[in-house]
Amino acid sequence: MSTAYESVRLDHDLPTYYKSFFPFKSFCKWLSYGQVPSEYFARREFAFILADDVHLRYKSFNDVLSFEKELCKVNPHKLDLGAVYNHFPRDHRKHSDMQAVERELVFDIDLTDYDAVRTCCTEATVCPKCWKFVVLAVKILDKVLREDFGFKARMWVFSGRRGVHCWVGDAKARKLNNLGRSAVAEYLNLFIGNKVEVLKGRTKMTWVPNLVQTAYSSALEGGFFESMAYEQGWLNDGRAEIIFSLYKELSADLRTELIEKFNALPTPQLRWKMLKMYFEEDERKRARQEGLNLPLEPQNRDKYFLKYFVLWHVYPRLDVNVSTGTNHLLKSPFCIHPKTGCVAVPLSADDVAQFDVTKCPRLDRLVAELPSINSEIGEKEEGDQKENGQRKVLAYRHSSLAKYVENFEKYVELAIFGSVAIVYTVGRSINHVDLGTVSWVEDVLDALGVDVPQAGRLRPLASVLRLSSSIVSLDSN
Amino acid sequence: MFAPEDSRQRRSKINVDRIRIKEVAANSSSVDYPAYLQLYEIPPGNDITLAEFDEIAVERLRTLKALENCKDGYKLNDDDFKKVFREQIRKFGSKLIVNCQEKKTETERADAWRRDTIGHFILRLAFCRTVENVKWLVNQELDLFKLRFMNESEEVVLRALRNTQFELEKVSDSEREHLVNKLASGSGMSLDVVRITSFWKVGFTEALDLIRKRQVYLQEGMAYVPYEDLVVIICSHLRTQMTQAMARAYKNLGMLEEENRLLPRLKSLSNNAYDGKQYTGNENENLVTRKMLDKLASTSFPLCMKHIHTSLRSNHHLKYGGRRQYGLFLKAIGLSLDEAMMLMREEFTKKMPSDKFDKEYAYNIRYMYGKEGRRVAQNAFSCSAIILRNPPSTVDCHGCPYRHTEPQILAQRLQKEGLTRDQVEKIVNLSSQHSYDKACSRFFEYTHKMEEGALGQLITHPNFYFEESQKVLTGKRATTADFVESHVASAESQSSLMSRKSSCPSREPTDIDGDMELDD
Repeated sequence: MSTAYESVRLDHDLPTYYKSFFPFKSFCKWLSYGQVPSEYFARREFAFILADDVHLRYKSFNDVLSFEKELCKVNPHKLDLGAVYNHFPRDHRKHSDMQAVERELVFDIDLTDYDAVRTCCTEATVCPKCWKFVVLAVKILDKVLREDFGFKARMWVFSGRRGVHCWVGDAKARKLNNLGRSAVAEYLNLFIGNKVEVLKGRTKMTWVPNLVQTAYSSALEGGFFESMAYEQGWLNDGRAEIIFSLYKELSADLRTELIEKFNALPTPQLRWKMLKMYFEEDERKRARQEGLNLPLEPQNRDKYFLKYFVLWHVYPRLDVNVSTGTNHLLKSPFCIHPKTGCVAVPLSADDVAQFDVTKCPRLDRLVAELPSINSEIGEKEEGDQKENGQRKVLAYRHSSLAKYVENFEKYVELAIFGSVAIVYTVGRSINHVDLGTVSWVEDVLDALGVDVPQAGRLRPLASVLRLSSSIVSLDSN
Repeated sequence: MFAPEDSRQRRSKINVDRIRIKEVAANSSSVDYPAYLQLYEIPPGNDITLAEFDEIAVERLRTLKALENCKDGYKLNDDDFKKVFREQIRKFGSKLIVNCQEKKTETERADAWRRDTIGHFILRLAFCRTVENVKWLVNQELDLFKLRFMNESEEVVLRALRNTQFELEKVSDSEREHLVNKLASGSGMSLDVVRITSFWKVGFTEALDLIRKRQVYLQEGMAYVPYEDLVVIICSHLRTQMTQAMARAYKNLGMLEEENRLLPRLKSLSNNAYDGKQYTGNENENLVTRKMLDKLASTSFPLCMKHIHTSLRSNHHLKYGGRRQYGLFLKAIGLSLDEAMMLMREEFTKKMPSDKFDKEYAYNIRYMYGKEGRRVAQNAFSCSAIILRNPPSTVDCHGCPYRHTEPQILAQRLQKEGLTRDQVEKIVNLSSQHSYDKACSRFFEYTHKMEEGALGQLITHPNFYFEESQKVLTGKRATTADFVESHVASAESQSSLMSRKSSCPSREPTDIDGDMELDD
């Protein structure tokens, strides 16, 4: 099934892709964040990347139509998204005070950064085994972004070859300045050089930050880390020296002891068990109840060896520079990767685990789907007595791209809802309230001291006002 | 929002604001000026005489400068620090309150708060014109705020904060108990300490410094900040506010029709951001000849100038940045135009024909001495100008070695100067903490065989370095100068200058050996 992609076909297939498969409507709805017509959209920088890495930067478009027209005309190999600027990006030469003002908070995870721990593949190749690194990275980051920072709109996009990008679309995230972005990125990034920062504080007063705790338990959950350790051979014969010298704080005595024990055990499974017996409180408790012989409890900094071991192998290795610059360009969702032909498809955090890189929608296959899709739609329309023959065929709805477009639309709803003003009328006065998500509406009403209306009375006026779902009107009478 | 306002609109807005502020001031009954530990949200709106304007501004400026100097020798809020600082500001009779426990009558107190507010806002105006000045003022003001904050009881601080628009929500006891484990591991405290500490909720964007260090508990975008870290949050809030307000003030300053009255006053205030003296070289003309430079360079040049000098001698060339930084420095230590021209010619013509030198470089040198172009003699660069303007590329030799050099290379250079490994490490550490002025002062002390801190002041101008060095070498300055005394000396010289400034602003040539003086 998975034959390699022939990139010579790129120029031939791209026009068809942009014309029939690129989901313009949702895409532009996303970048407009609930404004129609949207100045926000018009101040966004787009970059078209043509053959031979020619970059056309600072492109901007007033509306969906002009964007669609230009994209279908130029047919760029890649499409990047930049920031929202204070002026129209296409006028960037006219203004001396041109600066990026807003932009989604983005993160980039690339499997090439895992080459130190990845034994199945190297560099650009990716197999289901190494995809697990991505799965775990997404699981951890998604949890932290949600629970610690309270970000609601999070989209994970397969980059087309060997990594994922995260787009956080909450208004609060978009408004972060460079300082804020770098603070969030530094908070999330545990790696300093090739070391992991699992401890805080000085020699005596050490503590484990919450983030480390969260990441560690997420990694161990459901035996995920364990199975990765076997697959990647981290606990194989002869690995003892390497493993136990990773953590520089480990005392020499314990290191010798562990190396000895490790080498005495015949299988990786038993070695993992041994490590847990040393460093996991729950495991020790259970063993104690069963009356097993326990090793002495590790003291001081030795206690944290297993945390270090686990996180050094699987903690997300972020490319911090991508996240810190407001004006950094990043590959857009639904862009084609020119080397692999894969579409950069949006995934929800839960989808990432099921996602198979080799089955990702690919440009040549999509184009091959088109004739059958066309005939299918054609038949249907004939059955429905087609109303006008000029209707554009939205092939993505019927192709293998469909479920990813749905993911995307869900994200767009969340992102937009985070940014809209809820217009709420009580008698004569109107209160504009900036809200996080729909579920907050009730809290706000509560805070305003108004009885929360029954569910039926809280209705989107989208159809009436033609402003998508961005305005919710509450009629208290 | 981005539409350009025309100046008339802006001016009328300023007037409206002025009236509004006055009304606010008139309506607020007993507390005309926000009391202690305010966040400087509302500017003062009453009328004030020019004499008082000057007095209050100078008082605050000197308080801040004393603070800056003390910080060099001691850790902020140490007992020693407090003692020296209080001693210093008492000497010049500052009425500002640094610590609430000070015994003062009600009226004295009220007056002090009034001076506090007015002084703060005057300095904002005075220092808003250049990036380096803004940065300096914000740093000093924040330190003053921090000092006051740390000396207060929690109760007083919170009462003060309640009067500001900074929103804080206290974490209830039950919520704290509920989250006790997470708060402990979030802030690195023991459970018992958490139980007796008060926690405050702020949006995470207000607590970026703590988040960066992973030193605070975060939940749903809210940071749970323990009382002892609250000062960090409030300071960063104040920093943002001040920086923004000063940027706005700068925009509007030109609209005020105050060219003759306030603007010159403000300008003379901000000239004092560094050691104050502008070095033009007029006063020392012909003191130095080019033959003396090699010797002077090894004894009395700061590291930056030493580096350029060596580079000139070995490469027989200087790029533009180096020519300007070094040329103006030499002019200010008293190298005459003729000497400067000969120095450069001798070196440059080793690598190029003499007519090329005349065509491409001679003009530039005459320009610096005010003999060409707009015919204004230029001042030598201060440290902040060297650090902030025009950073050197790899082929340049100008800039500040503590700011622009890789740590390893800096260490090598320092070793070559004969410093011990300990000393080198200390200086490199300071430079990596962005304390370039401290690094340079330490270098001065080490190379002049003085005790650490004996210089008593930070180096903020290469020519100041040179002058002080000459004083030490000629025996006009003791190497073991007591810290406090040297400060008093500099404070006194400043006070004389301040008084002179308000009476006659004319420039007087000063002696190289004289006390620090400031020219307008």
